[in-house]
Amino acid sequence: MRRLMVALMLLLLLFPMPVRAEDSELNLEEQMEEQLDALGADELLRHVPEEAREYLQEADLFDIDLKKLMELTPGKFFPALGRMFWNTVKRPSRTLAAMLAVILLCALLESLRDTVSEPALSGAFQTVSVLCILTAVATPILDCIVRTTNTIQQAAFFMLSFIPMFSAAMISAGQPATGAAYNLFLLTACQVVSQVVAQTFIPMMAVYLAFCICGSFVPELNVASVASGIRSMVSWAMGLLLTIFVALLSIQSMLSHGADGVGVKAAKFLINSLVPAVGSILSDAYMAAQGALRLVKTTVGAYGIVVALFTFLPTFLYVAVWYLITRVVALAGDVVGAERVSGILKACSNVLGLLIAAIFCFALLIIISTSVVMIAGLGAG
Amino acid sequence: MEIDLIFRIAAIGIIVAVLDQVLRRADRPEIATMTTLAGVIAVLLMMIAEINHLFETVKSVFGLY
Amino acid sequence: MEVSQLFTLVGVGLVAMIMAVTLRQYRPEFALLVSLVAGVVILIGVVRGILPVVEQVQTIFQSTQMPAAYLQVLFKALGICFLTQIACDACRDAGEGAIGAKVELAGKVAVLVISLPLFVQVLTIVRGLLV
Repeated sequence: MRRLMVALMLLLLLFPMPVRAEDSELNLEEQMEEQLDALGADELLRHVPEEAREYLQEADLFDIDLKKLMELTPGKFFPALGRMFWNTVKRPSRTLAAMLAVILLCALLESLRDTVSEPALSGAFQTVSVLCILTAVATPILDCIVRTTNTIQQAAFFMLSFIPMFSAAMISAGQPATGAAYNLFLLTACQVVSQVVAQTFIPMMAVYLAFCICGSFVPELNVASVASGIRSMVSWAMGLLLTIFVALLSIQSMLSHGADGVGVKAAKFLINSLVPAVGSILSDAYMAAQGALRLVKTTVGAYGIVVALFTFLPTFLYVAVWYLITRVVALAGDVVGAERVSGILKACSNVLGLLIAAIFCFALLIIISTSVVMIAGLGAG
Repeated sequence: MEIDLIFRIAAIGIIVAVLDQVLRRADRPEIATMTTLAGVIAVLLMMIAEINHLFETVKSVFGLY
Repeated sequence: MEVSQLFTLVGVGLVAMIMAVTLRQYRPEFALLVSLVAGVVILIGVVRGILPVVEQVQTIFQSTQMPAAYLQVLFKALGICFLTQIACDACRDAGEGAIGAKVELAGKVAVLVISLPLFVQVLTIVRGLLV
């Protein structure tokens, strides 16, 4: 009997059942996926603007993926950019050639003119060539205007779903004050700026262009002063708007970042002191969780910036190409001596320049505010 | 070619001028005037053909049918 | 236009000038006729020389999306301006400024009438901008 018991005990010793604690290694990617889903990443992906979508899919950046974002080197970026550029430039360059040909014909007629006689006939021919050039250029300019308005409105729509998600990410990463401030502030800013720019500034620029067209046919009526007045007002107002918003946001985020830092430290202290034995371990775990969540927040922020970039870049390139073209042809007209033609083309390029400014204004608003908030939060805790 | 035209017109002009002087000296001012007029009309006829040629060329090059 | 043609025209111009100056002392009207004919001849040569340029411009325009009708209007306007300028200059040279002004007016009206469809198009554009 006793030997049986000893044998049994020996057997038990020989076959131990290994037991250990659960694997507590943070599997970073899975955690991030969970967090992103919790924050509502799918809905965000649905709201990405159309234009940005195809470029993002081409660069394989559509899903919010930390690894892909970290691998975003300029080397990957520039081929897509180059392709975008070439696609945009092809058709306008043919119109450039046509317009330069018209200027050539103007030059021909100018050379026929005697220096003594009044430029009446060349004036008549220049009117006709202005009409010709206008029919060539007006459709693309209208196109630019419509595209800019659309892009700004689409971006505003995207921001509507991006901002709440980003501020939720910030709040969960331990920056409640900054998150709340970002949410409220940027939401209002986006809507206000996009409405003002799309509904007021851009139609005013269209009116300015209409003024200049009519003014070019009747040089005696000095429309130029009214037109330049409109233009300077619009550019001044846009600059003012952007400066105010960015300044306010910087001030706010700096202040609320201080508040967040205090909040995080207070939480650590409380945990440490209230939980007796494992308090320090718990507060370290809290900080680790914070770190992971901060990574989520940074990823989301970076994604937002990338989307904003890809949304605005195609439109910006298109408008910039047409701006360059009108400038070049205006220069050629000046060289040749066809003042009416170069005058109307300068007005067109002014309109396009203001469109570029509007695009920049809005894109910078988004990018700068997101980066300011992201960078301010990096040094927390 | 067309250059001959200019020489011809210039030649007619010189002939008419000389004839005019001679006839005035010979005390026949009416004939002088008529000669001048005849010369002018002859040159005009030649010129109209040339101007017509110019119009045809411009019409064809610029498509002004 | 090759360089040989250019030499021809230059020669024609110089010779005509000398003859006109010579004839002016005796028969001013002949001097005028000579200069007019010289102008016409030189311009014929110039217009013939422009032909390749015009064809090239037409090819350039065809590759853009501008309708061909507008290009026609442009060229017709150029031709009208050419002719009117010749007549105007000749009138002014002869001292008949009034006749020259009337001819110029006729040319301007012709250009205006020809370019009416372009005006209509631009009005449509302006209306589109103001909407």
